[in-house]
Amino acid sequence: MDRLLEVNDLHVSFNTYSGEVQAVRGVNFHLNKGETLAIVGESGSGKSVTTKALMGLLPKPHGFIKQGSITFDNTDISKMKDKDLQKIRGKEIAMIFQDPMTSLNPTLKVGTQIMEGLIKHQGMGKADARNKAIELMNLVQIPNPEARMKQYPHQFSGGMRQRVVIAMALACNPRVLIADEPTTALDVTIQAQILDLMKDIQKKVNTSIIFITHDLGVVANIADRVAVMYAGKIVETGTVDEVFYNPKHPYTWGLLGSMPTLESDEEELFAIPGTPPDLIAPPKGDAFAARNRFALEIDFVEEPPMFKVSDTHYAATWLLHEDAPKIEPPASVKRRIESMDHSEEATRS
Amino acid sequence: MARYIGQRLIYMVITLFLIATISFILMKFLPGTPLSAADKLSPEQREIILESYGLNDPIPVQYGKYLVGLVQGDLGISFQFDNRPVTSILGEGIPASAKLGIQALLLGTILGVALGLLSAVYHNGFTDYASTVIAVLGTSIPSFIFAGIMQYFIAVKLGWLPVAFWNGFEYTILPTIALAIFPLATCARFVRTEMIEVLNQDYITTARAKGLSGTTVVFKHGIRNALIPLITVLGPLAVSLLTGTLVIEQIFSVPGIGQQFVSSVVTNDFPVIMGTTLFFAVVFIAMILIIDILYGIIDPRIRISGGK
Repeated sequence: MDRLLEVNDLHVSFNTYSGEVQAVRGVNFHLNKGETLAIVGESGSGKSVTTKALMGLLPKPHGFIKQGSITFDNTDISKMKDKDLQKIRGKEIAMIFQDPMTSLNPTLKVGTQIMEGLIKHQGMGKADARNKAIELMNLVQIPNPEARMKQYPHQFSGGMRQRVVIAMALACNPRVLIADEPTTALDVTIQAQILDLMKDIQKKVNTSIIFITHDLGVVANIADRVAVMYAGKIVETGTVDEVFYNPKHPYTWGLLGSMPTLESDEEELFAIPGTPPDLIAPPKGDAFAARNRFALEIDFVEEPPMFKVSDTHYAATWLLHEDAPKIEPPASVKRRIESMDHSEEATRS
Repeated sequence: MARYIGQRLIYMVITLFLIATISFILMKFLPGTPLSAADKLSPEQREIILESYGLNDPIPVQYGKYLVGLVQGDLGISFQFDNRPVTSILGEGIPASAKLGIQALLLGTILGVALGLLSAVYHNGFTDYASTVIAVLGTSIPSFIFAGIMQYFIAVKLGWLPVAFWNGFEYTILPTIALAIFPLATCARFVRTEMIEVLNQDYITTARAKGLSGTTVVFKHGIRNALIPLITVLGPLAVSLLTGTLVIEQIFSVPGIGQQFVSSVVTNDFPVIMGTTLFFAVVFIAMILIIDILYGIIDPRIRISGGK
């Protein structure tokens, strides 16, 4: 398979008044052509920051890439000057943002905002760009695009605005599309529509997607592979089936256990105790140890490496070491996995 | 839109009527008459003069006469300036004040907005600190100090420009600069704050994510959003500049409306006071209307409904 994007040992920090916040602490992942990689994790786990770093959109000057490389198309884009990055942003790598209510400029016509990228990257004239923008609005299923082009963002509903944002991102046929929680700010019925739209479009334009979310239901729906992030690191990665049906990291167990299912009304929803660690002074050893009821002594001393489960499935937990006690996921999580299995089958049939 | 403006014009007339009434009543509470300073007049002479100006009539009658005159565009006759009609006195002062005001407003806002934008874009850099210093000096030091300093160094010492009076463009330069410093500083501070906020908005990140250059992001996506709130501040600022500024007009001997206003208050010249007050009110109300219309033009979200 073609590796389109490869991130190696990426460290991103923010200088704040109370010290350097190490938001991303050595992240490795890759993205193949045409696949969808989901990055999941709770708020503050560094998933958004990772993608902002990919785009060179870290807030300057306090956010910076401390170490590591981002290889796109055989070039390291992490050390590129902003001027050169401008040729990649929006053209090769495009981004869909979380909140469509704030990510569109309120004082510019929607059409103008879609056309901008086309004029900049494809060297199109206004008339060509206008036609292409109408085509894009058709692609994202905005009815009556000719008239809608001339309207302002406040005349659009949330779901329609997110379609505009998607059309903007797709304008130059990017090879990588980064979707940063694109459905979080939308209500549930609209969420499903947008997800279907994204899947549909991926088939049509064959772009690779990095999908950031904290919603595991969405992951099962859209992704090929999953990377689970915690405290600025990837703790488990694998195909969707591997991570969902054979999770190895206790944090992944926690995430799966805390996911409500249709059958879960009798059972109490599982919550991961405690809060994520302070990333100004990250804990020694495994960052999740303090919240992990299966933590071993070594978890507080030394950081676990990535243990290989299969060719595609890795997890960073000492539980996978050959000397570790054999611990099964808690019963409630197992039941959850089984029930998921059934509902998956139900939706597939 | 036309309907909206028509409606607003009717409101303006009502507002002006209220202002005329209130200022008339207030003036009747003022102690003294236009003849208070004229000691040499005998009581009989006084009576004759007061009678001839209609100042002995009952107040409701005076008010009625005043309103009738007002509707006909007659603001009355000045007591102090040789019985000249108030309209001609105002007509003499307004051009100078307005010219000075417009020049200062243009200079101040253009430079102020530019300075504010520069300091927002180069946030926490040298430009930012320099413009903050200018802004603090401009808002905290009164304009007449600048006026005096400029008169001394530029006019007297260097002899580059005339010290005072009003005989052509070069005479307007120093008072314009002195007047422009305050709006310049205000705009710079305001635009800086707004622009920094705008540059942190999500839609700016979206624009950058499209691969647009820094200048395009600032000019196409930033400025318009940062200037919307500035319009609110500019209104009152413009009014205060356009309606003449007592101190600067006094220092540079500009024959403007501000000077006349002061002398009419000192001499109890009721018609001139009333006329000037109404003129200020008209300018102010018109400015508010202009601002509301401007808002609609710049910000599509509040485009007046029904229009299009």
